[in-house]
Amino acid sequence: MPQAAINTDTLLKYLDGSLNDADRVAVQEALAADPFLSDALEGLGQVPDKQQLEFVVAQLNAQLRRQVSKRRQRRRKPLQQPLWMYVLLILLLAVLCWLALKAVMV
Amino acid sequence: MRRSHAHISDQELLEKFYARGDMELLGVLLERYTLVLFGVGMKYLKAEERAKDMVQQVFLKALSEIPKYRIDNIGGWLYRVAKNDCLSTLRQEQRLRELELPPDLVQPEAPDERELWHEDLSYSLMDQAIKSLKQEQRVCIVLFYYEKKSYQEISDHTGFDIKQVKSHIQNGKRNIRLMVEAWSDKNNYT
Repeated sequence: MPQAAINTDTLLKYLDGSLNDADRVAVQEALAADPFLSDALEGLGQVPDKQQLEFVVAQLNAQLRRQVSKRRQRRRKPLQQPLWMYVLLILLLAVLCWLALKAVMV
Repeated sequence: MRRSHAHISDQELLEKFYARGDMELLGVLLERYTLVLFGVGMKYLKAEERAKDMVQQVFLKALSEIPKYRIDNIGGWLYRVAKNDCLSTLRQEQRLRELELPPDLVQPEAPDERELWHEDLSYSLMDQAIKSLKQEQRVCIVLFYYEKKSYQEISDHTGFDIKQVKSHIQNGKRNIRLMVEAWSDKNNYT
């Protein structure tokens, strides 16, 4: 799968033909072995302006970061509830139980 | 943060994410696949805007699904989801064409040359109508009518609130209808 060895920068250079021979061969070998990469390169080949790709990636990554940030906030929310409210609730329940028990005992 | 993870493999990053539950780590990992996912979208959907929408859908799915299940091969998972999303979009658009076309535009059993030309035009118009919808309208319509999601599910999936989801569906439907009607009025084939 396309990871560390063939990162976004390498792929962009491969597409604009600015990769050195050794790296180009490495990408071609990876292409032959990986259907994900092979499909991707076929699709990217259809983009007429390759310089546009960098902008597209930046745009998509910015949207992704916004989503990640939203989800991080959502996950934090329950922890952001004031702790004293939980403590107060537990104390209140304990007092009510104690009063109920006392009433039954009497 | 991103630079500091540059030397870490996908697998290690995924393990770290599962260990810490930090969504930012998952975000860093997903960013490594943005370009290749966009490439897959271009291969199947043939248009930059549609490919971008697909990548966003895959990311949304990844952010909600990957934390729930243990995934060993994130590249394989993303590839499968992206490809399925593209094929599903193509199928939905085909169904949308069939459902939304006025009865007089449905393909006859034995079309003559003029009707075939007519059909080509209407199909390309429907393509245009779908493409020209704002992304949020297209996503909400597809999720509501074709994936049979509830308003709440669409809201969870997209991050829009329920009022916005309803509004995008209404506006999207109206825009598709207006385009088809405008085309029908403009072209009189009788």
